[in-house]
Parts: sequence; structure tokens; C-alpha cells
Amino acid sequence: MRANRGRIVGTVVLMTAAATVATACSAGPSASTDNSPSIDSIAAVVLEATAAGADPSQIELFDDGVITYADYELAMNHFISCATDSGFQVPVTGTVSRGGVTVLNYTITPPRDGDIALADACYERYAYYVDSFWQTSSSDAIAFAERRAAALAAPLRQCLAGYGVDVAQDASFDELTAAAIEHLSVNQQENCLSDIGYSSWEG
Amino acid sequence: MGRLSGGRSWGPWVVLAGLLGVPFAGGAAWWALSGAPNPTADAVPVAPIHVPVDYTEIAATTTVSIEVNNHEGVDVVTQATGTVTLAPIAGGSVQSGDVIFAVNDHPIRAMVSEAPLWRSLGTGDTGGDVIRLENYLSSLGYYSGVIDGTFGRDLRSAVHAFNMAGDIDSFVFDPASVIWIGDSEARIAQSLVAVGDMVNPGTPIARGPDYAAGVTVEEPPGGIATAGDFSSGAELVVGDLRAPYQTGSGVIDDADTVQALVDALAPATSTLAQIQAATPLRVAVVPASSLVQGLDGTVCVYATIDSAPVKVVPLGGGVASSQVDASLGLTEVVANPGRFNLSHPCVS
Repeated sequence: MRANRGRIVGTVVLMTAAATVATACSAGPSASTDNSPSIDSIAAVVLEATAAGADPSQIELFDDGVITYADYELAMNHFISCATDSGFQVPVTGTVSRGGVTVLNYTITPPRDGDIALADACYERYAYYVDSFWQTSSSDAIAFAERRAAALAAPLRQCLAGYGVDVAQDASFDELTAAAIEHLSVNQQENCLSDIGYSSWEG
Repeated sequence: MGRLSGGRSWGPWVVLAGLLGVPFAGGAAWWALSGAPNPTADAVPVAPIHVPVDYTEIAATTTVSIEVNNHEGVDVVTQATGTVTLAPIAGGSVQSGDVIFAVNDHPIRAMVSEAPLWRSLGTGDTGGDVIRLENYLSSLGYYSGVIDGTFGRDLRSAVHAFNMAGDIDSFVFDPASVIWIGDSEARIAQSLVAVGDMVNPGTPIARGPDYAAGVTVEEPPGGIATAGDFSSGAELVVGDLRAPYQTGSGVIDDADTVQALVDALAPATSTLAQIQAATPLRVAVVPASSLVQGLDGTVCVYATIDSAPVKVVPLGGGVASSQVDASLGLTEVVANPGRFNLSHPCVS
């Protein structure tokens, strides 16, 4: 346990230093444009997980600076084992694709008079930070979001124009999405995000 | 007897002479008398009457008819796919969290928010829609964490609990599990689907009550500008209510203003109202008799009968007085210039 704590502190220090370097480097014109998650974002997650008392087995998965599906699955299995040990039934029915990444499809049934908070505690301790990072900040998730933006920007712009919504010529995909939501708020039947198949786009 | 039958009769000639001579004699007498001096008129000397000029403020006003335009109620649209197993009930008030209808036996709950949810939300997601979801689940008692726009572990638990209430064991929020009804509670005036109907994303399932979308203002022919100077802006006046009005637009569609007008008119939906210039105009008030119109149509007033004319443009007035531009700085005018041969004629 003591050894683990020492390793955690070491990891945090290493990540913080790396984040500082990464921040300095990213200010220059040669900043990386690949889909890798930034070192400082990983360092931030590690700091948060450490502060929240996440299990070292979860934090160690960030050591190499990337989260893979294997990392995700390992963390989720730790969580499921913890929940099962607490009396929950957590059957995994397979995997599904969500936002460009593969995630486990599972349900959770508490024991009789069981408190779901126990399973939540297991999840936070063993899997939450890895799960969250995997689904939104992994290179797969980032690449998917970029592909989706590249593929849907033009039809989204065209859809908005069809509904008479003015958007700047150089509007980003996020700005186009915001405009679509704003228009949807006014007219529910003019849903550009639905029209272009945003939610069902698989890349 | 012989005179009667054989002599010449003078009677008709006498009558004819009388008929012709009397008018001629009368005209001659009138002509003779009219040239004689009139002691009465000569006894009253005509003098210029100088009157001070008053100043006041006027606001151009005209009468218009207005009418509330009712618009068909807003449709509530589902994002769910499947068979309707519980239909919306017309006539009721719907609050956030109420079950509006069901698809494939999964209840679809009403969501009150400033904007709808539009994508599935799961662990790690961030954004304004996550904030709306946090607020929504917080209002229903499922979520007690911070409203930070990040789908964290607490929101994950809340979503799971919300889903389980609809018999869905999932940690991902599906926007089809709710139906956005706007930013406040709503009323359902009409159900658009029945049990057994198929619905897809975008299918309207209920309609809200008709609402006042605007107030039509019927301006006079030629527009309001013909009734005065409204260049400073105009207001629609209904009783004590004064609402800004864009002249020429023919409509008021600002939601708050429309509602205020609806309230002011209720239970009626149309009436006569006044359009009034927003800023009063300062004018000089002169006697109507002080205005002299020249041969070319120019209108003038005179400070004295010997002074140069001051060209004016009547802005309004009545039988006894006229309103002219205050910037001319008039202090006194001749009220009876028509009684004199003016030395400076009124021309442009």
C-alpha cells in the first residue's frame, strides 16, 4: 500500500512535469495535430482520480499516457468484480459502439434491499476515470468526433440554410450544432441534427 | 263701343313698359346709391390686430383598428421510435417529469428546459445539454450533485435511476425517453396520436392550445405618416397601455407586448386604438385668420402689415387656430392681414 502511494505521487509529479512541458510546446507552431489526448488532460484526470481516492489499479492505467480498449475493459472488470462481491448482479451482454468507441453493454441489479450507492462506489473506485476518458478523450473518441464533424458540417450548414438560419461562413461544427439546437428550441419540427443523422452517424 | 272694337289698345304696352322699366330703374338706383359715401363704414377705421403667439406641444395621433392574431398551438414532437402504448390526454396541464405518453410500454416524460436534449449522454460527456440534464434530473429529485456540465459519476447514477423508473436498465441517457415541452409547464389541447400508432423521431404527438402570435394594426390608407409626424417613433395606446409600434409594420409581435395587449383587450380580441407619436412636437399656435395664402399657394404670417412675410407650413389646428413650426421664433402676428393691401406679398 505504501509502495502504491509512492508510485501514485511519483506518477502525479511526472504527469505534472510533462503537462508543463506539453503546455510550453503547444504554444509554438509545431504543436501536435494528431488525435492523441494531451498530456495535460491525462495529468488532470490523474490528479482528480487521486484526490477522489481512486484505486491505484485504475490510476496506473494512465501511466503510459493512453487509454486503450484493453485498459477500459480491465477497469470495468475490476468494477464489476467489486459490485458482484457486494451482492449485485452485473451481467455483461456484449459490447456496443458509442461515440466511436466500443463500450461494454451491461445491466446492474442490486441485491434485495441493496443500496445502489455501493455499486456506484465500486464504479468510481475502479472504473469511472478510465471509462470517462475512454469514451470522450481517447484517441479513438477524438478521431471519431473529428470525422463526424468533417462529414456532417456541410449537410448541417445546408440544413440550417434550408430552415433560414444564418450562420457565419467560417462557423465551426460546434457553432453549427449550437445554431441547430437554438433553432430546434424555437421550432421542434425543424431538427437539423436529426435530419442529418447526427446521433446515428457511425463513421 | 267703337273705341273698343276699332281703335288701338295701349294697355299691353303700358304693362310691358312697366315690367321692363321697373328693374332697370331699381338697378340704376342701386348703382347710384352704392357710389355714395357710407358714413357707417367710414366711421370704423380698420387697424391691424396684433396677437401674441402661443406655444404648446402636440403629439401626432391617429386612430387604427387592432386585432389579436391567434396562432395554432405548438406541436410537441417525440424522438422515440415504436408503438404508442399510452396516448397523450388532452385538456390537462403538463409539468416537468409528468408522463405524457408511452412508447413500447416505456413512459415518455415531459421535460421543461430552455432547450431540448438532442443526443444520448453518457459518462464523460460535457456541454450545455449535460447542464440541462443535470437541472432536469435535479428538479425531479434524481440528481443532487453539482451542476457542472460534466456527465460524472453522480449524474451517471441519477440517469440510471431515472431510466430504471422507466424500466430501462442503462447508464446512458436517451433523449427519446423525454419529450421537451418548452421552458415552462404546458397544456395539451389535442392528442395527435392514439394507442397503436407508430411514431418516429419528429412525429408530433400532441398540440398545445392556440396562442396569440401577434397583434395586427390596420393603418389608415397611405400609412400613418399621412396623419402627422411620427419620425420620432410611435406608440400604440390602448387604455392605459402604451406599446412601442413600428410605423408601417402593421403588426406587433414582441411576445411580452402581445401578451400585455391581449390582457388589456380581454375578453375582446379587437378594438379601435390610437397610434401616437412617441415624442411630442413643440409648435407655435397662431390665429387661423393670420394665415395668408399667396397666389402660388405659399402660406405666410405677418408680424406687422409692413413687415416681410414669414412663410409657414401649417402642422395642424382647427377652425380658429393653426399650428406652425416653433423654430420660426414668432412672438406676435397680425390676426387680420386680409383687411390690408400688404406691401410685401406672400410668395415663395
